[in-house]
Formats: sequence, C-alpha cells, structure tokens
Amino acid sequence: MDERYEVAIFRIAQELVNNAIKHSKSRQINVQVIQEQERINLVVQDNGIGFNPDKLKDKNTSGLNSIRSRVESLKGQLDFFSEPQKGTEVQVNFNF
Amino acid sequence: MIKVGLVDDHPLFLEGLNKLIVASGIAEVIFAAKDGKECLRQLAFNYPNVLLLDINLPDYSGIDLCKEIHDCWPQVNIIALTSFGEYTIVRKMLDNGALGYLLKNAMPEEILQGVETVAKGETFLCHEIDVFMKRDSHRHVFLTPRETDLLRLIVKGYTNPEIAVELFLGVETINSYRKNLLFKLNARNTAVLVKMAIEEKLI
Repeated sequence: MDERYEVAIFRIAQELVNNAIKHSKSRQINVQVIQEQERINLVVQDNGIGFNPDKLKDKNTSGLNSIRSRVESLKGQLDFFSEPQKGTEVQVNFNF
Repeated sequence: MIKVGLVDDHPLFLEGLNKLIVASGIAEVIFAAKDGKECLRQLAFNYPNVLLLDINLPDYSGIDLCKEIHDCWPQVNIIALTSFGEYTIVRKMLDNGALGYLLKNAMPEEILQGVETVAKGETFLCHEIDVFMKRDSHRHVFLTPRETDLLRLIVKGYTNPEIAVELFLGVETINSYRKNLLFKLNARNTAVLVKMAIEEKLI
C-alpha cells in the first residue's frame, strides 16, 4: 500500500481515538481497519455520550481540520454519525 | 441446598422442570415465573443461587433481561434454558452475564449438572453448545451500530440509493459499509449476506 495512505490512516485513527477518550465518556472504543485490494476503510466507534453532528460544521479545531485535510488530500471520504447519548461512529474510506 | 428460580412462559415446561429439580434432592425451587416482569418482582424478595432463564419471553427479550438481572443481582448465577442454538444468541447471553447455556432438548441429568456447576460460580455449556462454540468457523463478528442498521435494511430488500435516503447518507458511504459487511462476514454476495444475517440472528 502507498505510504501516504498508511500514514493517513494511522494519524486519523490516533486523532479519533484521542477525541473519543477525551470527550465521549465511553466505556468502549472500537477501532476497525479493513484493507482490500482496491481500498482501505477505517471505522472508530464508541458507545459514549455522542453529540449533534450539525454542530460539527462550525467546529474548526486543529484535530478535526487535520483529519479533514488528510482525507481530502487523498480524495477519501469521511463520515461522522452521532446522536446525543447514542455514541459516535466515524468512517474513513480511501479507494486506491 | 441450592435455591433455584425458573422463568419460562410455557406452564407445562415450567411444571416439568420444577418436578425434575425437586425430585433431584440437590436443589429447591423458590419461584417459577411465567414472564420477565414476574421474575423481576420475585427477585426483589428472593435471591436464587441459580436462575434458569428462557430467552423467548412474552414481555421481555431474555437477552436484555439477563443483563438487567446480572447488573442488579450479580450474586444470581444465570443459566439460559432455551431452544435457540445460534452462535450470536449464545454469545450475547454469555456477554450479558449468563454462566450457563442449556438447550431445551438437553437430558434431565445435564440440566441438573448445569444447576450444580453454575451454583458454584463456574460456567456450564450443554454438550451440543460446547462443541458448537469450539468450532473455528464461528468466530465472533462484531458489527458496529451503522453496519447493523445497514444490514437490517439490506435484509428488507432496500437498494443502495434507498438505504442512502433512509439513513441520510451518501450512496458512496453506503457502498463502503456494504463492502465492510461482505468482508467481515466473509460473504460472496448480498444473497449470502442476507442468509447469514437471518441464520445467525445478526439483526
């Protein structure tokens, strides 16, 4: 696999796990990486307090920005799913 | 003497089980509840050492009830006594605090052996489940909440664009998730995915 994807997945996972530890108050964090010939997919999911994803649009924290720019620069796809009290699930996908 | 509580919605089965336990001389039945509500009411007054819990109850999912009982009364050792033998159900019951798992086709001696073992705080799986759980092909697959949502809609026959509308997501995202499901369940195509979802009770 291209080293750029490797670094991106590692850094994004690190940032997402950090965020979950810092903010989610969850008891469990699940990190899943699926690598296939034509793609790599990362999911970081927690069962914590969640948040309203609409508020994410106005957030410009450095951690979040770095995730967005890493995903954009490699033409990947980033999705946040969250609801208050229902945990958070973030998916990143890169097609090679 | 071991104190046993029974929960099952079939009166005939409850009666038979009651007689079996009393006749064994190793245990006594302190209550026999026909649903989850009655079981919780009984537990407020009586702690059995062992609770034989059916999974398919009229008012409760036995899987959720198991967790609730285990959280509130950790001293009660729970045995699932059920006709369900699917891997996911056994896994969920054990994850939710059950110490034992017996199938309803178990022999009477096996049921009594289970009661005795679990009363000591040890785990007990009936022979059929024990063999089944040790089979390599049944690895535990954890699905994230989104993957489970998607699988539920796939089983209902929704197409990717329909799922995208239902879950407020892009078709590309749905595609990635669908690929994740195929990969994790080692399914060749959607038909196999649907078959596995139903057979293994993943949704």
